[in-house]
Amino acid sequence: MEKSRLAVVNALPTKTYRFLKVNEIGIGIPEQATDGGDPWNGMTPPTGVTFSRVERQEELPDEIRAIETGMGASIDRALSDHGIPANILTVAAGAAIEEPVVMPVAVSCGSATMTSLVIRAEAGSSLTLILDMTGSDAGCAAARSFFGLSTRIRAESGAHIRLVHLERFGASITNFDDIGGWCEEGAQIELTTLLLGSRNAVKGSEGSFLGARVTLSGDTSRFVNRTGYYFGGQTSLDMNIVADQRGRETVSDMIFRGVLADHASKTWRGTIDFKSGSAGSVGDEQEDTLMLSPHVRNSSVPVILCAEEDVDGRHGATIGQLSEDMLFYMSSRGIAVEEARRMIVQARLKSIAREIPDSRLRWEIEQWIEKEIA
Amino acid sequence: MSEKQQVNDIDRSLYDFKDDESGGDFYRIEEGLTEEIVLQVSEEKKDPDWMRDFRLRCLDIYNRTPMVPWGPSIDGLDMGRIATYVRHKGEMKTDWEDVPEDIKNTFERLGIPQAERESLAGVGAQYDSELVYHNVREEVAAAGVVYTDLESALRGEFADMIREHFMHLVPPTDHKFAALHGAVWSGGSFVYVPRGVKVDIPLQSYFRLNAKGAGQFEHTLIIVDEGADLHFIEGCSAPKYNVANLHAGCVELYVKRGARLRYSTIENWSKNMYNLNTKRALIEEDGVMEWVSGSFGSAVSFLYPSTILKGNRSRMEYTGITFAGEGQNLDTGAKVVMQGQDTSCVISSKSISKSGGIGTYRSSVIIGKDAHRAKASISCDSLMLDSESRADTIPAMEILTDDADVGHEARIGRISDDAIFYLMSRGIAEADARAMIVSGFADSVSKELPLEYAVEMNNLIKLEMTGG
Repeated sequence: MEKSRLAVVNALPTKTYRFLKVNEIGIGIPEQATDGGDPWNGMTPPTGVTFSRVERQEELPDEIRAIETGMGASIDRALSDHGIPANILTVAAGAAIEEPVVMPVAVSCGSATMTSLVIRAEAGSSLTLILDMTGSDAGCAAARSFFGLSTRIRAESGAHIRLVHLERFGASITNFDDIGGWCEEGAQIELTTLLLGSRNAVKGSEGSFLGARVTLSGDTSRFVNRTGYYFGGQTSLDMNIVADQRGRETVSDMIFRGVLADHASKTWRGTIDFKSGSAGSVGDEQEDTLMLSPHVRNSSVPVILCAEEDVDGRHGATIGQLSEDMLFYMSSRGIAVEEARRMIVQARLKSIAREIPDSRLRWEIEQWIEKEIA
Repeated sequence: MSEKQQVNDIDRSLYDFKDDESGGDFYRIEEGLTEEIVLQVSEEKKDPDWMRDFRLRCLDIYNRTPMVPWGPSIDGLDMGRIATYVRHKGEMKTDWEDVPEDIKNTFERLGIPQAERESLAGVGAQYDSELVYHNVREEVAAAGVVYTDLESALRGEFADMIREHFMHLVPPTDHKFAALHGAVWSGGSFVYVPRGVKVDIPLQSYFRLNAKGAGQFEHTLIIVDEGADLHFIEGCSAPKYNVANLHAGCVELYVKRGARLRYSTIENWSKNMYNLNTKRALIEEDGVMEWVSGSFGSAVSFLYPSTILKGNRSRMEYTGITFAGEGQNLDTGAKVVMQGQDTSCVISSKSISKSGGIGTYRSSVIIGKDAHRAKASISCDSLMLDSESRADTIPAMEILTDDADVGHEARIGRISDDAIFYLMSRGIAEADARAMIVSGFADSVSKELPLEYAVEMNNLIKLEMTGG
């Protein structure tokens, strides 16, 4: 990768002290980044689902382009500037697709690509989409790679979209995962993200960037988020997740559970935004970060914004080491401390991995966890 | 139950009286902020040369520093219309009887002399830009406790100590209004508590800004030496005008090894006030810093008492409440930097928003890489009393060591219908039930205050809830 253009992303919905350096972050988008190609890779869509494509972002309907994402408008501009086509998955009204649609994405060594996805879930439909993203560690240390994924979801009345993002990239990749969702009345977006960073990251990688913003526009709409991450080596993770609650009796339920090891660093911004009119809504965000090395760096910014009286917003965070009580309990049952430590760390990630609705992938991820966190 | 009661605006007649400045008893520097004005203030203060030069350097920093890009808007504040120095022509007194009649009446109405007689070890009273009264009980002075105005200290036996500490914790480069403070500061107190001395009853400074369109820039410098103990209380109020007033004070607190300082504030500025105050404490080994803060007044507040836990086993507690009513945008919270090993901090913040008021809790907790086994517990609760108001919480935590233990919880919500119903079923009117619940919500703060101040705080809450 040669030249890149800086994009300011993951901006906090409201700014805070500058010295913390959490208000936003920059990511270099390589100038030569190109389209990642056909994400469906010749797959036949299940009944009730259609795949289509528009060659330019500007051709997308206004109601799709208006969907705000977690990383922000800079990513939309980058997609437009690089001429990235949009790949559209439409689920027909009332269609309930039981089998998850699995989309493998393999990032090749030294490449620089971006992919744009749009999911249109018509009224009353349901679908699970799994994106299994991998890269290669072996032999790729010298050639830095870049991969960006933008996903915009419009869930019409009563639709239910479950989106699972599994990220097992290699050592030298800079990647972003930008998600925007819009829920009409009674619609639900469930997002499960597992970010498994490599412990062998080399210099030059800017790290991983995750942004998600779901607008709960319709009454009784819901956003459920489960994020698990493991970052070691020199890797870094920057997140910005926003539940924008506008309709009455909306629900956001967000859990972030992760492990930092070696020299890894992580910034997490989580926002529940109760807009005026969101009476009867509930928002909950829970963060649990385990720090396994004296060299890791953790930043957390849990924000609740509230312009409505009749709401219930909660945040809880636990950051630090493994609970001594838990270790003692396990030791007292004959489990060696190191073994107990390993089990607890693995369990933390497996609790998110259990949410993967595909048994083969779930098994693969659990194997990865057991191998990497030994 | 969902029907809302009518809540009127607060009757602030207790605080909202003003003295006429047109009678020739007051000296006022022209409005605005220029080098000439800063030199005029310096001359009025009879500054030593280093302080005059320092003021000019601060002015330069102020002019070069942009306003922070976060927080409430201060567009309504025009420094070109703020008089940075206003004083009564009389000198500071140590006997109430010698204080000019009109000023004495002001403080009598605020209950300061009575409080001094009944429950304080010493009192300082600042009126506009200057202290008009300063006194400390004989037995406290005999123990070596120094409680005096900062200007006297600057020229007396503590001159070197002042120079060593003044605006070192809060450098003028910290932010725009720290630089402004450095340029035009006037008034404020210096407290020194010698090693091992425990002051059993509190000292209090009361700040009154009477002048229309003026600023108050007092500087408070407190040094609590090793093993000493002090409770310092600050109170402030002003009459309401239809033009902006500005408070940009600065508080620097040094808590030495094994010492303890409790710093309590009941802030009740009028609702035309921009309260851009900076408070910071440096805590050495085994030292303890306790902040108790009640913010009720001001149109706009930026207030985040900050603590540097430098010494091993040093600790900090912050207990604060903010009540944002009509026309108020109060951005408050706390900051802590944990550097020493086995340090701990507990932050407990409550905020209440009503009648279109905006209450924001903003904080930062930074645990450095050498702060092994640091423990931090942060909780913030916000109560929304209607849907015209706003309550935001914006905490941030940066943790650089793996053996830290950090817990954070936040909650935003309304008064529970069940709680109101329960109280009403026992014969309590809805308005009273609401007031009781809000008072209970603020209980964690009021119980940390001396009785007289807890009563004042509860009265303020009651006034806000019922319209007096």
